Amino acid sequence: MDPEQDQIRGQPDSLLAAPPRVINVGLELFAENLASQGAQVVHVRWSPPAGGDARLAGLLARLRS
Amino acid sequence: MQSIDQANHEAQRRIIDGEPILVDVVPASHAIPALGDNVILHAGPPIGWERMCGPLRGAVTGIAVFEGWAGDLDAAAAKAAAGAFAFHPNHHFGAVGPMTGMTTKSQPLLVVENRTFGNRAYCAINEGLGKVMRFGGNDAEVLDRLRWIRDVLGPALGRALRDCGGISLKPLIARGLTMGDEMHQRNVACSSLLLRQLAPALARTAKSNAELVACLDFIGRNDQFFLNVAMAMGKALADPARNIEGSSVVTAMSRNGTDFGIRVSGTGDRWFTALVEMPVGLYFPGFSARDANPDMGDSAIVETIGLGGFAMAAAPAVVGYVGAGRASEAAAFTRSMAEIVVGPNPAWTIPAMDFAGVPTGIDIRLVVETGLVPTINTGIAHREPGVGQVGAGVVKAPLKCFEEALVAFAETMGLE
Repeated sequence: MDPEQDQIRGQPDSLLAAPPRVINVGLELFAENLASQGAQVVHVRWSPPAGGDARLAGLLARLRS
Repeated sequence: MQSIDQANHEAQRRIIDGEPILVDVVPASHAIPALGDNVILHAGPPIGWERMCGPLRGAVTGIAVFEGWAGDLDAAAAKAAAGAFAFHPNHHFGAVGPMTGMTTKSQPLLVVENRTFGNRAYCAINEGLGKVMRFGGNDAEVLDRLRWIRDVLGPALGRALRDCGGISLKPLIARGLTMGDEMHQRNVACSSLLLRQLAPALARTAKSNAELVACLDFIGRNDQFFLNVAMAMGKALADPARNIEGSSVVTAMSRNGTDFGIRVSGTGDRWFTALVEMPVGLYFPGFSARDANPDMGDSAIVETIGLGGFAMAAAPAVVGYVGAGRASEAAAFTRSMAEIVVGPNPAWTIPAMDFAGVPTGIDIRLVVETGLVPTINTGIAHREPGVGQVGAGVVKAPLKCFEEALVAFAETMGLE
């Protein structure tokens, strides 16, 4: 048996056995909902560059190079 | 050719390396010779009478009566509508003004000299709180106060500053940041520190005991007296950062109650504008958001150099005053602004953030990339002419200015 495979197979059990610890990226609402239910959560503020505007994001990429 | 990052570090270095000294108070026509009859400088990017908001119109009519260009407010409004006045932004003449930002020929102006780069910048004297012209007030009480400032306080301050050889502002700001000021909506510490230095010189040069008492009393009762000094200083520090080829650093942010405008170093003196937003804040008793005018004033020059909303962590008390949340959230504003600047200013530090320097040198690339726009602490004017201040709050710079500036900046870099 591959010990790594064992470990992977074991993860769902340990996830369910302990309280969740969450890193939330992007939409803060998800983090707020979890936090309001007592979950341990760290929120990482992130959004697509230039709010997803492809033209501005392209300009930014060229202005960074 | 230097890279954009190199150009931006140079812009930020110039802002940080400036040595601002409050050197004098002089009549505006001496400081700005272009200020003849019927010439009115205002806050914000260019605007004509037809698009001016209520408080700006109120201030224009009031200042026209003050200067003797019209017999009363109605006559002044008629002259303005007929095109009798030439309107220009303060920023086009090395000046700034809070809220409506009226600058005309006979008003006394604070003079701040940047000894590192040899440039000067100007701002009118703060009128105090309540019904004042910077918030659109224009009745007899407002005009009488302006006459006293012109005839008594301005000349007295000029004599005192010349007597003491000027007041160095950089160390004063550094100390103010450790005493709870952010230099936009809270200037209690810096106003007191300034008065402490000015008082002996005022006493030595006063023409009478009564004049001295009146001047000390006026300054001592005004927690925001230092704001206009900070603004002239901000302009004096930001101007040397203009016109650096390849720099995407903001050199001015300003609003006229209708439009918000920014200037960027690498695109010269072109304005990028968008409709200005409404402040979110707290209102004085009897007033509400229904009474408020959209944001206005050249005072965002203090955020341009890393103070005001950018230094919120230094001033937890101001968070409550402007209705921006709990005192413990003050640091979050400063941390957020640190994400859109070139770097900290090591000369101006914030004790509550382990003496981190205030975030300085707004990079339009970072603003557009992150969607984080500058946070500005501000006063709120009534939307009707002649009423005055009704509250204080926080306003966000519109993202559209920065997006348009980015496109224009890219063109200067040979892109697009």
